[in-house]
Amino acid sequence: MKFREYKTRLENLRSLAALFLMVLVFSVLREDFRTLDNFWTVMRQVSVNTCISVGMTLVILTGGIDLSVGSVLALSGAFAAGFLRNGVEIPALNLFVGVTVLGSIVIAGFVGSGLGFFNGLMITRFKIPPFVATLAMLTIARGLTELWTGGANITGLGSTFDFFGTGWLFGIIPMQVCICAVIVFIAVVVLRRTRFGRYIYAVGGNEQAARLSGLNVDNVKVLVYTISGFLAAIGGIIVTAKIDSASPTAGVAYELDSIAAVVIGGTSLSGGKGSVLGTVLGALIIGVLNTGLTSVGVDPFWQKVIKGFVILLAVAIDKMRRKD
Amino acid sequence: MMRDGKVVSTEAITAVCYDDVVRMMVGRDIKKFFVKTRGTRTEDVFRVRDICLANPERPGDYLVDNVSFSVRKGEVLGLFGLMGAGRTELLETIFGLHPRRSSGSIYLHERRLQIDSPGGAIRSGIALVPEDRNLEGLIMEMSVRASISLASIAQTQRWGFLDSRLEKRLASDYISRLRIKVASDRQKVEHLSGGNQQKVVIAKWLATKPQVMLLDEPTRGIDVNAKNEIYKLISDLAAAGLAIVMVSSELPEILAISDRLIVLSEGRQTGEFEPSSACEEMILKAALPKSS
Repeated sequence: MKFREYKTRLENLRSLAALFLMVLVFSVLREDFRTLDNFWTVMRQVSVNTCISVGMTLVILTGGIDLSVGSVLALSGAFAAGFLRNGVEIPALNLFVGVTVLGSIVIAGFVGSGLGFFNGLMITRFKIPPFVATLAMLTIARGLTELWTGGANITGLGSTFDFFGTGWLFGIIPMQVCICAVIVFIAVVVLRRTRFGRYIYAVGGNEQAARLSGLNVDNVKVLVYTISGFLAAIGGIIVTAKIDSASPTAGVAYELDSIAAVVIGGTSLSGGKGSVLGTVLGALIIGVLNTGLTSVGVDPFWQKVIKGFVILLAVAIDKMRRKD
Repeated sequence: MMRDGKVVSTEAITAVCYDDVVRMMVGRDIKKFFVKTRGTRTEDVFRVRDICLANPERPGDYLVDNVSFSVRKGEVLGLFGLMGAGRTELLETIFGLHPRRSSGSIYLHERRLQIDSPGGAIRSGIALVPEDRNLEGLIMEMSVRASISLASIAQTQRWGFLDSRLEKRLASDYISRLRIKVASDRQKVEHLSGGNQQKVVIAKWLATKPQVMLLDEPTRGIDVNAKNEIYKLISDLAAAGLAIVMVSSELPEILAISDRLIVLSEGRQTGEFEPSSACEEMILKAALPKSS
């Protein structure tokens, strides 16, 4: 039994080795890279992407894709900020209700989940390919965000709300990292130890065989897209809290980094193969790459080029390994 | 010639004939046709009536046209027909794969079943071993252990969490019972031979504790040795009381294993035969399309 299991662990180990190598190289080149301060900087930068990438992993594992996460992130954050600042006002009933921080987070959660659920519905009930459905949602949600914010940032959200993006739990661990860690932990448990996780791998591995085995494939898919939307909303809360501002341009192109993390992490785009921990590794590699190159003084535009090649390299190595 | 990982003999091609090759693969002389012990008469346990499946591409045309049959407890009902006769479609319809395009009634122990999905069929006690194990029977990247429990996960889970001990026990149980050759139950299914893969599929379905088993070409693409093992398995299952419906396009095979045989042609039932008394010509005639 050992050899086959170790093979998958080995694949992740190679990525881990690559990560360590990068950290080593950058630490040698720049003294300020190897500080604890920098460690947390990297971790905080990586948190939002990791958060949405966990959702993306689940979606891709079922053989789908979610291009709308960036826009859903923005809309959720904007809703949270908007309700937090302005409360709920119904002039007709002469009613005004303030919204608490918790309330705004719950609202964001519902918005994200709702949009994700809508994606799932389009994909299962109307048989719209995931790429198309989520591409449409990307545009729809972005438009809605611009409408909701009126094109301007919503700021002044208060220190309680901002704590979720800027605070440090017990003074030692940044809130973003905590939130992200909890999400990763739950995702790992769900995928490895629950029936739902098993079903996700089954649907992605061979949808027809899964269906014939009695699985409700549609339900699995809808749930997975809903979760992706929900996690995008969490990302939205963190981003909004971090800069104390909900921006209509928040989350633009976030889906790309998310897909990159998933792919570098070894998850197959055709579904059925991959892991959340792999994705976390992928997100870390991207994060360290970004931060490291910046600290060494590489032009941000060149960073993009390098990142692109890293993605190609990672997937090419993966494909070559699978050939045997 | 290799068997079970070892080279068992080396011969010049001109020196061997088909029977020799078969013998070397199996390791013992086998009768050309498997001989099944015929069961004694028992009561009807599974009955389908007027099953129809509409053709989605041609309105008014039916892929399955008013097929009815019944199966007794412990009986193997053979379903013979050429490609395109509607055999797979019939099984799929019974299994709940086409709820919107189909009609008809299904009875188990005289109780009418409402089946609108494979899940529903499984819950009612029906299992379907599909025609193409690669496309429909197995998830290649899954381990043997996970594959065997896939259709009956309710048994190996608690509050949504999988119980790996139960899973492992279920897997080992079937691995030994069906003699599935694996290095470990964690091995991915894609690395198994065709015969062993088919056994995993059958194990998966046996784990759902069905009362009716629908088999669609269960020995397709399997070597002679494994075929025999599957025939014996089907025979044992029937002896244990399962009602079995088996589709095959190999006449010798279906004659050897069935207690009764019905023939499908162009979606319609064209004949019912007793294997011991039937003549192959009549069966083939019933299978040929009339429109030609």
